[in-house]
Amino acid sequence: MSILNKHPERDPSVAEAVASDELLVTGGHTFTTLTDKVSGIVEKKTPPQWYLLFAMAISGLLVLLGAIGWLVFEGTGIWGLNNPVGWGWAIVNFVFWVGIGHAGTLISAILFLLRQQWRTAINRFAEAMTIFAVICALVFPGIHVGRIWLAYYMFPIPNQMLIWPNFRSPLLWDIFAVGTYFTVSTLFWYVGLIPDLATLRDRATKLRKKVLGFFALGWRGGNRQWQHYEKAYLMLAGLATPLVLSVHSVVATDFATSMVPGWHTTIFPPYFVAGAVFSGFGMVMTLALIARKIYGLEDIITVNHLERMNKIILVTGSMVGYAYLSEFFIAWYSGNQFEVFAFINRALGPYAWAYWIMFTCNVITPQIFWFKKVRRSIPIMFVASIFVNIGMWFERFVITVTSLSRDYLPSSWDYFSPSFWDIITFVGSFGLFFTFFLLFLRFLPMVALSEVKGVLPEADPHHYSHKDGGAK
Amino acid sequence: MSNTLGVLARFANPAELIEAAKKVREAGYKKFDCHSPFPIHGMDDAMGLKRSPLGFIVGGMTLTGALVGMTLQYWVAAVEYPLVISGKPFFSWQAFIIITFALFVLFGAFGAVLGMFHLNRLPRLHHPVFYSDQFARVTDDAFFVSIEVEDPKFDDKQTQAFLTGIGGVDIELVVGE
Amino acid sequence: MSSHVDETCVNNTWHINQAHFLESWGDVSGYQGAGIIQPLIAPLFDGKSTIDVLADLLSEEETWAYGEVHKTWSDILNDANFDKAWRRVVHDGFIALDRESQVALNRSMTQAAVSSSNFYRPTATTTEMEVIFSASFSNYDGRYANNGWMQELPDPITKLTWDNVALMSVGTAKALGVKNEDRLKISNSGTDLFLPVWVLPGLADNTITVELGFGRDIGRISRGVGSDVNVIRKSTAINIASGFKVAKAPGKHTLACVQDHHGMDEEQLAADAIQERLPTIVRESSLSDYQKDPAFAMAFAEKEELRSLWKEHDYSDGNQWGMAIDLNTCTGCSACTIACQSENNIPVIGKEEVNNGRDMSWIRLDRYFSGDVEDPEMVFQPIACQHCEMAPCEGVCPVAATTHSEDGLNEMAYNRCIGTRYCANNCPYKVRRFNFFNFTKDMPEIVQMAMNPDVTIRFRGVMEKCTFCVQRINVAKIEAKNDSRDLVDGDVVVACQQACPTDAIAFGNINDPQSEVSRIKAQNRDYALLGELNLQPRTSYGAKLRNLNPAIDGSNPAIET
Repeated sequence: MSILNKHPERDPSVAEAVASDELLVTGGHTFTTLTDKVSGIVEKKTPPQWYLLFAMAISGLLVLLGAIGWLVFEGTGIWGLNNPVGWGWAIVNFVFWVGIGHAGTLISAILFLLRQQWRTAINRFAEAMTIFAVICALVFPGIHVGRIWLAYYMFPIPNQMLIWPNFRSPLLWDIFAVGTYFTVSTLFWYVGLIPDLATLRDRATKLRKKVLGFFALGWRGGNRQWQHYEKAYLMLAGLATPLVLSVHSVVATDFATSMVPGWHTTIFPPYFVAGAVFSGFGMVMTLALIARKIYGLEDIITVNHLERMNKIILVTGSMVGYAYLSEFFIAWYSGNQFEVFAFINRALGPYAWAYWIMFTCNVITPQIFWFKKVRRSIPIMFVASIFVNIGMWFERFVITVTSLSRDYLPSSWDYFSPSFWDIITFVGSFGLFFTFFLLFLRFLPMVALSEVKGVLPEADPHHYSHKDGGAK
Repeated sequence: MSNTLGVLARFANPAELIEAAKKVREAGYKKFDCHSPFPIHGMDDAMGLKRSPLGFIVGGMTLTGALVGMTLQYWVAAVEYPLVISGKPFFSWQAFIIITFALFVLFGAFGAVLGMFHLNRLPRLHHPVFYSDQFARVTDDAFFVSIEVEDPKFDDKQTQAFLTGIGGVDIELVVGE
Repeated sequence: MSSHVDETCVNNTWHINQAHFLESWGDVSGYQGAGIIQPLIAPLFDGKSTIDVLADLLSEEETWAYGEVHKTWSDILNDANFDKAWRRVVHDGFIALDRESQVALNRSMTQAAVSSSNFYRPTATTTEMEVIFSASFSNYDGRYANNGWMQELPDPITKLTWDNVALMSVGTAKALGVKNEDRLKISNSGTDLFLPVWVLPGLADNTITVELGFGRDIGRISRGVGSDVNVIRKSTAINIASGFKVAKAPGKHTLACVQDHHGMDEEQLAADAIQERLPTIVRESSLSDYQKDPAFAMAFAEKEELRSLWKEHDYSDGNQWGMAIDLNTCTGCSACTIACQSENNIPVIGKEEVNNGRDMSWIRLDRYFSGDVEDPEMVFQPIACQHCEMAPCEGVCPVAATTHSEDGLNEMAYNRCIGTRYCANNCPYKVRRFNFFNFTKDMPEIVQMAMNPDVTIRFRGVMEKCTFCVQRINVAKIEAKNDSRDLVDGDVVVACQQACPTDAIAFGNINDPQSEVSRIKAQNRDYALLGELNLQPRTSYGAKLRNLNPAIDGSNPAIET
């Protein structure tokens, strides 16, 4: 059963997407022109901007590796951490990258189940972004521990001490949740890539054909394959949907199950998920706008797609804003002096600057998307998407650091300042991300070709039965 | 030394492919397939395919994953190496739910992907249809019906004529080396 | 002749390497007896004791301290069987001698004499300030300055380490327009002293207090720490001097303070929060109020019974260790901190790391001010790991490196710890200490020899904290087992308890109702710090009672002068 190709007259959700005033792909593309367009990106000469960006990304990656090398050699003390603030930028960066890693699978899985066909334009590179963001995220819990060479103690493998990990710890939940998320996202992405790798294979020659042929696994587009393939895709989407919602909920339990005032709150899981989707869409938007410009994909990633993403940014941004406000209410309503102080301290204490950067970027910025003109203005949405990412990094900073810096006993209060190494490790993680991402753009189809073809009007068998009217 | 492996016919668009699939099935062919650059709605019915059993594979795997997750945690925390942690019971099942769920999903995902590979007999890098030069277009914009030589009804001439009759073009006898 | 090369030695022509008294033979005499000083080890650096040197100078033949002591005691013991008697003295360490032990008391300094003497009356003004020279809390006059433990021991009131400062009142700081860590120039007849400012509530206005014992030129540890205040000190005014010009100097001087970091309590938001929390953290009352309401310490506790979400672990069997700390008798002397550092091989981390907020003390002394900034009250509260029965640190450790023992100790398995620091984050008492660097990397061999062999040295990346001196508990258990008996109260004495001069710390088995710690915990002053969190800490505190003289607490206006 093909889900991708429900007929508009019989399926209202598709009718909304297809029969509205917009076409999912503009510019009068046919199957062939789409194939040429998308495959051409990786087959033709690489644009010079790519080399410039790749050089920058590799430099960033080297900075990251240098920073990690020094960290392993010297110790966690090279960061700005202190006694009350045991978690600093490393954990902030971890949550930040995991959050960004939410958009891809959300677009692939949840929008797939909700039959939002516009997802096909952006899902491939959003999924790639997810995987690379999760790789960046996984670097941080690995290096933030004091004895990095023993981080494998966290895995449930019998070691020389015959002792096992503590399954009650939220950090162990993280290992499983994020590890599973990474694995499932990668499987999902690869399954989606198989037909497109076959397309590239069939256009290639010599060694390139052999390599692509190996990864395409011998895909031949037979319906006997498509049948199981679609079922597997549906199953993966079904499994990934609760997973994508659970991952950031589990990350939230790192904070929510602790005792620290400002962390110890039940609103964290849903609030983290909303924030993750928010930041993930912010990042997808930033990257989509750049890629679309450089590779001339305006027909495939249309302004209509971007507008829909802006609507999601508006919704999730408002959810995050609601969470910020309700945190204050609950703290006051609890009557717990430690909770009350934790929140007043966030807004008015020594980290007020960070709090208000966060608030401005995350709550006020997305509100501009109430206006249709703004939703469709590319320069505005580009700037807004960057603001969203800055704001969401600060959200994690505010939560992690302000809560720890002033907890129960005032005698232990201290102020956290990042060190040089904190900063370059974070900057370096962008190098890691963009290295992967640019390699992806260079070597793999950045648009899910078979899926986009599937949503063209010509892909619908009924399109041909009444040619006079044609499909809209 | 060459031997016949099957017949390939190209059709103009998804609608024609569906019609062709129906006719090939009605003609009694079993070992045939319809190739297209994307999945086509209604093709399963047209080809008379049964429901994919993948759901059962995934279901079995998810339950196995959940069982492995909870059993591992129970065994480690309550049997093999019980430790007093935060004064909590050795079998703190509430805390073990998340990892149980994660393994539920992980096993299920592997079940879905590996199960699909198994059902599709992938990876399979050699297949009769790859001997055809025009078949490369299947991943671009072409729609094919293939009938394999193993089919009991297969006959060089008749099958080619049949495919021409139902509207196929570029009929090709696939010959291996 | 001295055991260390110091500022005096370098000005001499000759210097003899003096052996430490634990490396030398000697003897002592007191009112009730006399004793022998035996060396514990041969001199490490080939030092000579004073007896060695004097004996060599005075005697024709070659002799050394042991021979001299031996000779002396052959006269004292005067026994036919001298060898046997000598061995007994060496074994016992002393002999009792019958001597007149009555000493006449000089009564000239009675209260009457004190009250009739002339009190010093302050005459200081903003332009003519007064300077008080006080001995350093930890270095004294500088003789202990070359000791890392001492440099890093926070002053109990300022909580500063590794520096001396110019202490002044809030009013004086305002008048001079200076803040903490500003540099201050103190001048007297052409000599200038530069010191960083530290503002402390409750000091007299127009008076600057400076500490001796800093700014030494020699010593691996002491060189360059702080400033020598003797440059403005004159032999005519050794303790207090007046007529100083004091002004702000350009620049800043970073100070390593272990509490109220970076002057945070100057911020009103924080100051208010501290005052709001203080009555529940440190519970105190006056004696008269306590007599009226003896259960006041419990009044802050949750009214409703604290309940767990799960079935708690049963600790009703065997020895269950617990501690009681009496805030009433704690004087803030910090001996517990040093005793713990010595017992548990706690590293010295240096000024920069203290300033980074990474101090390692397993038992720290919290100090809080309350009341009027000109005339504040002050309390001390020693805080070590509370060994919570439902310890929040344990549940969050992903590798089960911190768990509970059957006798109720919250234990750290250093080998297992990978250093996620989650436990420290989740500890509401913030008693966990993290080895941010390999702090023992540059430890000289002689210091390594001074480490307690019963306690592991922790590597970088590992969390550590108070263990309730588990090594002492185990020694006591082994001894009791060798004697085929049960542990009794007093078998285990933990390091901080042993060092406490006021016996403010009690430790023992809380399952034994007759143990000292159980009897103290049964008092109505006993309360659990942050008890409302229901972590069930094994350490509890005895509420503080003040018994102020009515003449000074203002409650009896008739006595006011």
